[in-house]
Amino acid sequence: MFEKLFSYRQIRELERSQTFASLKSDRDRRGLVPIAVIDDEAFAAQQTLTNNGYNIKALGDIKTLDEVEPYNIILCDLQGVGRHLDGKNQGAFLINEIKRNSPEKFVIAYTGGALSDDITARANETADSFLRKDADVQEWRDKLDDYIERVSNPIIVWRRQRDALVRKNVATLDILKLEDAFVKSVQKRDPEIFGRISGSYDIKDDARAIAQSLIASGIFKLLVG
Amino acid sequence: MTSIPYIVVDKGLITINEGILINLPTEFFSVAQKSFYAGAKSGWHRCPLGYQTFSVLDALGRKIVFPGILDASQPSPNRKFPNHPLRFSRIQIEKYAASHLDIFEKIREQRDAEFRNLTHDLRAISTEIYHGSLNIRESVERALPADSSEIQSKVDLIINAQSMMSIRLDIIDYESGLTSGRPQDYIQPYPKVHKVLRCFDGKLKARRITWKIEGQCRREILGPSIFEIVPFVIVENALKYAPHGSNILVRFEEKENEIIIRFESLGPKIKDSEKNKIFDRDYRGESVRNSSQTGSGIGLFAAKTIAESHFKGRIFVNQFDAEYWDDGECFYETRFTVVLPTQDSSQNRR
Repeated sequence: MFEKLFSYRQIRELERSQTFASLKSDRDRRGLVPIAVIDDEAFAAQQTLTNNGYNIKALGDIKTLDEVEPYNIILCDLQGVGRHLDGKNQGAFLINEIKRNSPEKFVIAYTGGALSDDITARANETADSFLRKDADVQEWRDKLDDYIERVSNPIIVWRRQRDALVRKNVATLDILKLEDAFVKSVQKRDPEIFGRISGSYDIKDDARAIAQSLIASGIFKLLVG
Repeated sequence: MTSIPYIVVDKGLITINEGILINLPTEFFSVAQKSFYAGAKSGWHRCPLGYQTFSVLDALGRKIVFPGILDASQPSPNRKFPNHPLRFSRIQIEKYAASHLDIFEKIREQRDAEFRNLTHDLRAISTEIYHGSLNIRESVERALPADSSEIQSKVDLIINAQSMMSIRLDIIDYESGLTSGRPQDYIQPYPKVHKVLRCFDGKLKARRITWKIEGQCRREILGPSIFEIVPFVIVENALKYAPHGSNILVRFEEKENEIIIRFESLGPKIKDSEKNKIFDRDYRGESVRNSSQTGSGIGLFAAKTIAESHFKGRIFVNQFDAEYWDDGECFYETRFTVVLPTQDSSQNRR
């Protein structure tokens, strides 16, 4: 029994994605990670960020969460979006839903409003970070480069996934099996391994549901390869 | 305004509001009476003149006092005024106070909502100006690669003005208590201080004051996104009080777990006894009290509160003995030091 436990691969066996690390310039890295923007108005920073090499996709106000499925970094305005889903909580509702369904995604809330609004207070509970609408370009770059770095780091990606599994009270043994599959997938550059294990009969439904989003992203195209 | 007079006691400051329909004799606003109103706890009390006084706290924590009530069911007052106008029962006054506090609260909520919408719109405008300017800069660089410096310097002026607007909006939010919900974030102080100095560029040039930053610092501090207010207040003070043609020097130093930022400029004399007091709310040093200088209205009290409460740092002032005379006025080298504990974001990255 114990021998079996010790045979599971652990996240510390991994290093940062070699493919991503080999890219020399920030611009190269920025271009590889598409960033979704949820905003009911024109996104003022779009041209500036595009000029800085970021791959920005303005989605407008989304109707379903499927629209953000391909993105691992999401910028979400807090006011005016998601009204048809939850008129009271607006952007905070969207952020909460995205994080509930896809805990591995990074969601950065941005707002021009005072940050003690009810909506902001609610978003603060789930968003990974905040930016003011009128933040300067250096702040945007620092924030986005940081999150691009995180989505390409398998250790961070797995830890977030594991935290979500723990919060859902998934059994430790199931988490160990998923971690083993995640490590094998990254090492062998084959997202199917993780997909097979998490879809297998001995992983419980709750763990499988949380892992589903990671599988759908092809473990984010094998960490931005 | 209400039909009857009331008194507002806010942080020890007493404001008397006359009634629209009914007023009280001046004896009700004597020093002894005011002192009684300031100290009275919530509820009903008998004032030194022997009249009933009702005190209640409003939603902002201010004490609202309704003085000089003559309630026939209570003992007679010590001093009688002919035709005393405020003859009401306790229940009548309590209902009256409750209805007015309710109206005040609704007005305040409406005003705050309008104010929030206004700052929201101003931030949106500020954002458009900023990114529009950056896009112009990019386009000009492409169209005129050889010589775009004149246009670029004009674009920089717009960006500096936008930075000033953005920080002032932060100050408005801070003073209105609307920054309390801002989440903690890792902040590099160096670019923030640089941004603040840049946004004062035009004003500093107008007074022929030069600025320079010495030292480098890439380390981070942890706190809400209001740090810029700290250098803003200090640089604004330096700009107000430094003589024409002088310098502002900002020096960064990294220590084991701290960043030390020193802002040095010439300023009027600060007595030893004032060196702590200048960080008190609404305090102005003796040398500057008669000055006609005005500013953003936010003082060193805010800089100290933000540095200490939000960033667990400290701030203090030193002044050196050497005298510099300019246009008949004496100035001293003044140094504001901000010490901030550093945080390593890579340790907490998830």
